[in-house]
Amino acid sequence: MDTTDYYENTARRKHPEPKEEWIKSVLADPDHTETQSNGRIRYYGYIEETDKWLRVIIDNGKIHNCFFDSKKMRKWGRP
Amino acid sequence: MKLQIDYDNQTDTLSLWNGIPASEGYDVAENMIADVQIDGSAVGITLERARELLKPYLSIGSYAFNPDQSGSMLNDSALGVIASYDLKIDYEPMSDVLNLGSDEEAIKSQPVGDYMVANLNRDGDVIGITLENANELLGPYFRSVYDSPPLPYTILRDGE
Repeated sequence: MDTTDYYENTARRKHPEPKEEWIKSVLADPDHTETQSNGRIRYYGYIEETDKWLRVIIDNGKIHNCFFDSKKMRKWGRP
Repeated sequence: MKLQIDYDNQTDTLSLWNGIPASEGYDVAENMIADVQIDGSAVGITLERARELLKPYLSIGSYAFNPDQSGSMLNDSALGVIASYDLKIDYEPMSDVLNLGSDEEAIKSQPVGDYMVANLNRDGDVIGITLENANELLGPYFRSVYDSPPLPYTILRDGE
């Protein structure tokens, strides 16, 4: 999948843990989606290996940011 | 610890980061994400719509200080479907200090990198940041060739 320059140059270095296979699985079958005020879409999926919710932010069809969202576990628990 | 500043013009996204890999992240306020380690300590923040939000404060150089640029505001981005919690921006041009975050009260702070501390609530969650030398550090990212110092302005020379 395409990525933004921000993702390649910054976000990926800052949050190195999410694996590509996890990102693909979240995008293919998200448990939750949200639309940001700037139009970007958040896809969330629970990753069993880490016991965390992974957030993938898509900007115009490209991966823009991706990280484990610690507060979603508090809010949603496990699926 | 040196603060890494990355700004992506295409997506209008700003990253302030001390270089330590983050394990997790979460929303601090609309358009602002805290990047944290597994123990919750902050390593940086990510700000979306950065130019749009900060340019009114930081687009002018310190050479052209304008008192109207001081103050604070809540952004107007409560239009999305996500439950919104506005980002509060406070900028003090005299001291060149920028505060970003939620309205929540901070009870302690944690150094993140040079010029930047994270402000924390009672639970240790990041509720904002304070950045010193903000205009000096961030201003160049938000100025353009079209921005010019307000005229007329006076340059004081020795003996005048």
